[in-house]
Amino acid sequence: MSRENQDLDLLAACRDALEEDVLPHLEGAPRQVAQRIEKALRIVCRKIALTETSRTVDQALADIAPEGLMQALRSGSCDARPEIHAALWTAASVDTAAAKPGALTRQERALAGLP
Amino acid sequence: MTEAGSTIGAYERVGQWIGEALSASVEILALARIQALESRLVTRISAQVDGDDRSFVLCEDLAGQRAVPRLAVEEEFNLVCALHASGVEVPEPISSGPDPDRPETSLALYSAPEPATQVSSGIETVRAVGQALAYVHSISPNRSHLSYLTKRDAQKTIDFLRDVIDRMGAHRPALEWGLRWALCNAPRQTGYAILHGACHAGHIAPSGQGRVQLVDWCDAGLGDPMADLGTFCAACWRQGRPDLEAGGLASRQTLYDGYIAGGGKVDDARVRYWEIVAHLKAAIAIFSEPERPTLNGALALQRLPELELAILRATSPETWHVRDCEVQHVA
Repeated sequence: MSRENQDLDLLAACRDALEEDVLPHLEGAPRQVAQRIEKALRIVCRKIALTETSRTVDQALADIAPEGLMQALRSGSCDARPEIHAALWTAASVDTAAAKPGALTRQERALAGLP
Repeated sequence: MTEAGSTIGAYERVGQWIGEALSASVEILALARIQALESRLVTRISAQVDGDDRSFVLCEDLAGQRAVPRLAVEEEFNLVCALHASGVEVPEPISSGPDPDRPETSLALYSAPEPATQVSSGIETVRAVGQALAYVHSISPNRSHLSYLTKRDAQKTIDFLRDVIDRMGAHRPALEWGLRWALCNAPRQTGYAILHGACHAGHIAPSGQGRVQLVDWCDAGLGDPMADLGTFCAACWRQGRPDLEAGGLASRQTLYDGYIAGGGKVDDARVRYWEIVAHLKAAIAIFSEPERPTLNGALALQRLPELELAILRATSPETWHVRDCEVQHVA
């Protein structure tokens, strides 16, 4: 089992324990905090699962402008370039898949190579 | 005059300050912080004033540098006074002045919006927002002696947002793409109106019978009036109802109808431009607050990808008008 999978299992176990053993016993503000913690754990789980995809996407962005993408964008050298827009869109789709997967359209999931 | 744990804190002293402002006997029943930004605190106060139950909102400036250019508490108070005097539905301004214990800190006191006695529908509320904004935009900033309100055209807005990115050392290429699009697509500035500056559903208080109060004017400035409509329609402020384009409450057309009924003129293309700028502002605001390793802060950062996605959806290559930008394509 890979280290990433072990990390994922540990986080998933924490999330399940929180959901099954802690949340049912909480009310009011503590319950809301626990729900936010659970949400954060879910995000981290998805981020770990997408590590490899994120790495590939980040590398593709870095390759666009090895001298610095932020500066290239600001200078205007990337204006309206479809391949740059596509790379940024893919990166944002992958990040959204971790943070809020429900916000992605089917097209964006496909663009980011997500199931 | 911060609540428990800071300088004045004690109920009696808050009550004393309000009592002096109202020339009345005041007993504080409860204090609840409702907003804590890096530069200000906002506290809701329940009190008895000469035996009657009243609710107030107390704003106070905090020392320290502002990451975003908000109005100082006294400036906001003066603006709300001018708007109130002009008939705009805003919280009733009561008093402002220095904190008696910390003269470098300013305080401003308002009547808290009363809970609506009759629930308005989303359509009624949005129509009222449109009318209220049209009225605000019709007020001459010169006539109102509001010279401290700064002009915020597209260029200045973009410069400011870029500056925040630079100061925070943020590596967010999608936002940089969006800012460049905003620069290249900026509409020509044709005049300046008083802007609320952050007009979204969280800053309106329905008061029943199809009326609303516009609250929280600390982001006010002068600019394209369509910017307020754009912010209200921005997808990031639709409260989980993307189908209801006006604040997640009603259709875009309802907002436009209210604005026109209030005497305003809608430019749909400009509204849509400022919607994208509203996304950029919302995204950059997330990381412009000082670092606070809190759960809420960390979760707020997780909203960034969704905002970036919304910006990228709206700024595809075919939407660019690069006439005013020097295009330097890489070979």
